[in-house]
This record gives sequence, C-alpha cells and structure tokens, in this order.
Amino acid sequence: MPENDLWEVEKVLIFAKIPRSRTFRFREITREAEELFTKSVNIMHLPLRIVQAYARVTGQRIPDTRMNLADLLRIYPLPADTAFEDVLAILEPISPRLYSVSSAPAAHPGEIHLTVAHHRFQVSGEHKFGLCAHYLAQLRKGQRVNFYVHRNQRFRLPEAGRDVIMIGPGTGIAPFRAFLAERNALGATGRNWLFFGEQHFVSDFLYQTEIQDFVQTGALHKVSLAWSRDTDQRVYVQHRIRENGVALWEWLQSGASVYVCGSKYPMSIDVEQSLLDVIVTHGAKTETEAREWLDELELTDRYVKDVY
Amino acid sequence: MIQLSPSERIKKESSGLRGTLAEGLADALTGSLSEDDQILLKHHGMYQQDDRDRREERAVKKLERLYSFMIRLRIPGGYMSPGQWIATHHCAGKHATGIIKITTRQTIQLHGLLKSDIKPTIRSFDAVKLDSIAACGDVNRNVVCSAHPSVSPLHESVFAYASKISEMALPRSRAYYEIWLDQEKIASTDETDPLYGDTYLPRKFKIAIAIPPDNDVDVLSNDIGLIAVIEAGELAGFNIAVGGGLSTTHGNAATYARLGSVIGFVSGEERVLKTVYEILTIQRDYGNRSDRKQARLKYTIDKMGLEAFRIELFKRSGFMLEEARPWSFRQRADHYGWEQNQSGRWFYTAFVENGRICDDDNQQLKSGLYAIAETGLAAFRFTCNQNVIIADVKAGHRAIIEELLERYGIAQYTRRISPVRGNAMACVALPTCPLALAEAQRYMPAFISRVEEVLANHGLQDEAIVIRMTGCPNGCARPYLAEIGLIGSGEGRYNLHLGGDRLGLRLNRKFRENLDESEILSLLDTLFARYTRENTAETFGDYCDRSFNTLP
Ligand SMILES: Cc1cc2nc3c(=O)[nH]c(=O)nc-3n(C[C@H](O)[C@H](O)[C@H](O)COP(=O)(O)OP(=O)(O)OC[C@H]3O[C@@H](n4cnc5c(N)ncnc54)[C@H](O)[C@@H]3O)c2cc1C
Ligand code: SF4
Repeated sequence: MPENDLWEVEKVLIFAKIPRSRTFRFREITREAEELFTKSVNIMHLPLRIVQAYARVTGQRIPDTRMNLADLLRIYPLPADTAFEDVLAILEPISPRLYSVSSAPAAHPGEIHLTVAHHRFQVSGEHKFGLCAHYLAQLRKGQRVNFYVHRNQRFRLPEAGRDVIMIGPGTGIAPFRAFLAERNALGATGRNWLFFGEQHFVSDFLYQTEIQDFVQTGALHKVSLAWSRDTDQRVYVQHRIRENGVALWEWLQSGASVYVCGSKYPMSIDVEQSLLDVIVTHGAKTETEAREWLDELELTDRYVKDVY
Repeated sequence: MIQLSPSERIKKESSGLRGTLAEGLADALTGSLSEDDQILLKHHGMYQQDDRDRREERAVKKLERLYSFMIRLRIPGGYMSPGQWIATHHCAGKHATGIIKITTRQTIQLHGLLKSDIKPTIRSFDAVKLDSIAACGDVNRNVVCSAHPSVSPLHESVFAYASKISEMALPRSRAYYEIWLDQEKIASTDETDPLYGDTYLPRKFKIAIAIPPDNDVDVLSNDIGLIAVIEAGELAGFNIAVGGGLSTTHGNAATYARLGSVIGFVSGEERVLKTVYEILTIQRDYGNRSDRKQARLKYTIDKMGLEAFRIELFKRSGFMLEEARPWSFRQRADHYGWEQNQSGRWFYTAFVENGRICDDDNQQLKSGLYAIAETGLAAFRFTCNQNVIIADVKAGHRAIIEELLERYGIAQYTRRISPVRGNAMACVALPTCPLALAEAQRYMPAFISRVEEVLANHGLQDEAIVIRMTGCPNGCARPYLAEIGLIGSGEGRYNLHLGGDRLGLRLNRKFRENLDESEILSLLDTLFARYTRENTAETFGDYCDRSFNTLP
C-alpha cells in the first residue's frame, strides 16, 4: 500500500484551504486531513470519471484530462458554496499495487524481497515516477510499510525433479530469482533454464552476480539473455526462444514446465507466439495443433503466466 | 626444481595464445574473461580493466564489476595514414570512451570497450590494415623510433627499421585472426615459432630507435636501444644499448631502474636485425621465468655480467660488435609547431596533454584532427612524449592545414602552453589501471598549474623542467628519467625523485617518500628558491643531482 508524497498532500491542503488537523470521514474511516490524504485517498493522476465528477460538483467546465488533485484544486478552485466534503465523496481510495515476491523461504528465511522497477516518465517535460515505485524507492531503513500477501496458487514450483523454463524479462525475473534460490537451497534435481532480457547488459542485468553464482554451482543450467538496446538490432527474449528451438522442444518433451512473468503487452503475447513457433517447427505440428498442445500444457499447470 | 611463475604455464598450455578466449568471448553472462585468458589477451594487445570508482555501487546492485577492455595498437614508429586516423576516430566513438590516448610508446589505445565491442573494433581496425598483435604481453612490444623527421635526411630509412624489427619479432600464431576476425583455422600452416617457442619471453620487451640529436624515445629506458649513427650524411649503422628498463616495485629492494648499457656498434641491415634477434633469444633462454619481478632483460644481463652477455651474443650471431661510435643527444622534448624536412615537406607538432585526444575547453583537438584527416593532405605520427605530429604536408597545402589548426584552437593552445606543461607526462593510472596507487593523468593538468605558479614566483616560468608522474612504480611514463619524478605511493601521495637530466641519460634518485600535494609544492618552492639563488648555468635536474646530499 503506497503513501502519497508529503509535498503533494501539502499542496492539496493549501489549495483546498483546509487545516491539516481537521478531521474528515472518508468511506469507513475518520482521520485528520493530513493523514487521510497521505495514506488513504488517491490524489494522483485522477481518472477521467473523477475529474468529470469534480466538474459537476463544482459547476465548472473542465476538459477531459487526467490530473493530480492538487492541480485540479489550483486551476479550478473550489467555489465558496461547495463543501470540501462533497469533493471528498467523489474521490477514491489509493489502490494497492502488487509485486511478485523475489525471495524464497528456504533461502531468505524471515525476509520478503521485492524487485521494483523505478520507472521514470515525462509529463509535460517534467520527470515523474510512479506512485508506489517511488514510495518504495524512498523508504528508509526501519520505516514500516503496510502490506498484505496476495497468494497466487498456480504460479508455484513443480515437484523437485521436473525441469523448469523461466521466461522473465525486466521485473518479470522477480519470482524466478525466488524459484532459483528455493530450488538451490532445497537441492532440487530438475534442470533450470532462465530467459532474461532488458535494455543494457552493463546496467540492467538484474541479479547478475547471483545468476553467475547459480550457474557456477550448477543450480542454473542454461541462461539465455537478450539486450534490446545494446546493438542496432533490438533483441528480445522471444528471439532467444526461437533461436533455442531445438533445445527448448527437447526440454518440453522431457516434461519441463514453462513459466512466464512480466509485462502482459507486448511481452507475454510475443513470447507465447514464439513458443507456438517452436512447437510448430520442432514438434512438426500445424498451428492449430500447436495451440492445442500449449492449451493442454496450460490446463495441466505446465504453462503458467503471471503477467501484468 | 624452480617453481615457474603461473604465466609460464598459461602461455605453454595456450595452444598458440588461444586458450579459451573464443569460449570466454561467447559467454554472455559476464563482461569479463577468465584469469588465464586475461594473461593471453595481453598478447593480443588488450588488457581487461574495471572501473574501480564504481565497484561498491555495483556490488550493492548485484552487478558484477564494470569490466571493460583497453586495446592498444601496434604501430611501429607511430605512423598513421589519414584513412587510418578516420577509422580510429569512428571506432573510438562507437566502441570506446571516445578518447583516443597516445601512449608513451608512440601508439594509441582506446579504453572502455565492452567485451562485445572487441570483435567489431578489431574488425574495423583490420579493414584499414591496423592490428594490436603483441602490443602488450610477454613479447616484443611496439617498436618506437624518433619522431621528428626534420632532424635527419635519413629519417625514412631509419624509420623503416622500426617496421622490419616489429615484423621480425611478431609471434607466428594465427590465433589473432581466428579469434577476433573469424578467419578459418588453417590446418596446414606450421605455427612453430622459432623465436618465441611456446612460452614466448619471460616478460615484456621494449625496443627503441633514436636518431641523434633527438632522444624523444628515451632510448636508454628500453631493453634494446638502437642509436642511429650518421656519418657523412649516410646511415652508418647503430650503436646498441641493452638492458634498459624502469619499472620497480615498492618494498622490493631487488627491483631497480636501469639505463641501457651501450655494448657496441653494428652496421648493415642483416647484421642489425640478427643482433636484435639474438638478444631476444638470449633473453628467451636465460631470462628468469619463476619471478616476474626479476624477469626483464636488465636482470638477466646483471646476473650474467655484461661481458658474458657479449660473448653469448657473439656465439649466437657469429660476429663481434664493433666498438661503439661517438654519439650525443641535444634534445628530448618535442619540437612544437611547424618544421620542414630536407625534402620540403612540413610537419606540425601539436601539444596533447597526457596524450588524451578529445575536445575540451582548451582545444577541439579530436574534431580538428578529424577535419585534417578528412582533407587527406596530411598523415599522423605519434611521439613518445604523447604528442601528435601532423606529418608530410606539401608546401602548397600548409596554409589549408594551418587554417584548420587555428579554427579548432589547436595552434593557439600549442602556442600558449608553458615549457613545463609541454614537457610533462603522466600515465593512465586511476580509475582504470589495476596497479594504480594514486592519480596521474586525471590530476596532472591541475598539478602542473600549481607548479607553474610556484615557478613563476621564482622567475622560472621559462624553464623547460621535465616533470613526470605515474600512479605506481611500474613507471609507464618513465618518471625515473625526469628531473622531477612523482611516483604514486598511496591515495594522494607520491615519492619525489630528483636529479634526472634533461636528455634522459641519467636516472634520478628518490629524495622523499609519501608526500602529499602541499608537501610536494612547498618542497619544490624551497628547491626552486635555492636553485635561483645559486644562479648556476645547470639545468634544475643537474643542479639537484650535484647537490643531492645537501638539499633541504
Ligand atoms: C500480479 C502483478 C505482479 C506484479 N509484479 C511486479 C513486480 O514484481 N515488480 C514491479 O516493478 N511491478 C510489478 N507489478 C506492477 C506493479 O504492481 C505496479 O503496477 C507498478 O509498480 C506501477 O505502480 P506505481 O504506483 O509505481 O505507478 P503508478 O503511479 O500507478 O503509475 C503507473 C503508470 O501510469 C502512468 N502515470 C502515472 N502518473 C501519471 C501522470 N501524472 N501523468 C501521466 N501518466 C502517469 C505512467 O505511465 C506510469 O508508469 C505487478 C503487477 C501485477 C498485477
Ligand atoms: S605506471 Fe603504474 S599506475 Fe601508471 S599506468 Fe603504469 S602500471 Fe598503471
């Protein structure tokens, strides 16, 4: 559960002209304004429906654009006859963000590790970060965080003897780092194959030294890497999947499970297509047969995706 | 049984310097090569390094060290055509840091190549007939030769010896072409190497050719120094000096800097080459292979005795060296600005601070040299003082080149620099050199500015005192041959050496240890005050040498 940036909260309070200690009721909770806007109410990048509702409540004409509550209050100030409570009533709570756990009970007892992309984007020339990613990046040692565990019953390691193919570019590597650590700690006998990709080898090879150690000690049997910005050709994991078609088909034949984690679009779509291509080419199947074959794999939990 | 040093095993088992370089290159998990392969890599002209400034930050991120490679070219005599310069310029920008570094051995090196940049880099050099074979490693390195053509009408013929010696002493292995240029393994070629065998030399080997009166190559700091003897306008032959070498190791009293000993004179191409060849074979057979710190030719000779060495050379070559002919040097510094040679061609020597060719506040050197190369009207020659000569300009083209030198601020900067800066030299050191104990080239420009102030306080701003700095006692910038030598001993600290002469014929001596900048500057202040008070006609180096024991 992320918290809002204090300066952003401050601006809301200033533009709404409300003292920080005034208490409000929002949904089921009653809190002082400052705490409420820090921990409970989403004030960032408001969805269109809320901007439109604000226009209605305050009787102003506002173009259809998403913006932060503070900017809304600054550019289209609250009329004297509108109670702030009416605005509060249309706002929504901060939504929780999900992160894959990248640590393993057997290897990191008592700890939870996350692998978070501190993704930066530009809004009218200004650099911004995502709310939760930035909140996590700013955490100081000893600070407490509100969180809950959301269990994904399907995305689990198979029995220790089964081979595992892990396809996780970007932060998609998170659960696989946990998988590898767990299998390594428990001495699982199945083989492991990791596909990973990012922009640059030099700066973006997540868990590089751990992966090297896993390879060194024999816990990781094959690693296929794709760097999309290191050369003129943009290479992604799906290219590596096709290049390794023969071996991949051999692994699948011997019962390997395939896991895919990371961005849904376009990664998981492209990866799925490359898997189908491998099945067609090396399994001597038609496209329909390949699709059925993969569906069957999915039904038996040997092809599992956790994409977002 | 004497224990051989690990490098000996690695060379021997490398099947012609191949080792597992090809496999290591293909390993996508790491930007580094195995330790054994790193030793072999040197023989292909490259070193693996890592950015020491970033080790901690990367360890926290679970990233391996930021490994990169330095590639050094083999350019006998330091000469490049305009086309070769253009290729180098592009290669530096595309695959390396962009900076082209002129070394103290008349060649250039690029830093910051990733493992994946190596092959494309070597390929683009190969396309313009440049290679990095044997530019580092336990082999004969780049052969250097006096760079200033104006000094002798015979420059061309002497210069040709640099290439001939370099070719003669190249390893026979085709590994370079197979590994880096994907050329087919030619099963039929016999790679037996009559000179190097399968263990090469015990240590690096350096050869220089000096054309008096210039000693820009610091000829006596080389394993073999050839001093051209010119009589009645003809190249009579060469005086041969052997056993020069500067590197020492802190705390290892058995290591020392040594000047080459002149052992005689030889004439005629065949005999000159034979002499060089057999000196190499003596070092190959007698050099110390168990302790790399005792492996240079200077130690081999001192252990054998100079006389025994001469006799061995005679046994191998089949002829006696003649008595050395008279020779003398008048200058070691580069001749900045324009000069003309006997056949009317013009040469412009530009100042390159610490050999780093880039565009900065002082001058747009890199862009300027590129523009000059684009005209196709000039070639390039590097000097052992880490400067560049824009060479072979026809009289009718001089104005064009001159205009470019002015436009890019090169001529202005070369005119402006003080004599001490023009004579100063520093090695690479931090952050890339793994041996560096202290800063050198990154810090030298600022240090020289401070020395300039101190000199000016004593009215000495026009003195061309030779100051050289290295990050460690390995001595790549030849600090032991400087009037003021600074040799890194720890972070921000240097040993101060004094008393070298201006021409590179006398080693300096260690005067103080482990000084920081303010200690060095205040000591120099005191020394300069004394020197001016004495009002002697000697150079600062000669003065320090004569009064060494009474200096404060
Ligand atoms: C099952 C699951 C597992 C996941 N696992 C991981 C994981 O292991 N690691 C990981 O890093 N993520 C993971 N995610 C994604 C994660 O939950 C978040 O979605 C992600 O971190 C972005 O959240 P945020 O609060 O940082 O960004 P947000 O603030 O929610 O912003 C998201 C995007 O909206 C846009 N945006 C936001 N504000 C503005 C603005 N003012 N103007 C214009 N555009 C704007 C930007 O494009 C931005 O990137 C997972 C998601 C799911 C569903
Ligand atoms: S002198 Fe020492 S620090 Fe300087 S480049 Fe040579 S080895 Fe490195």
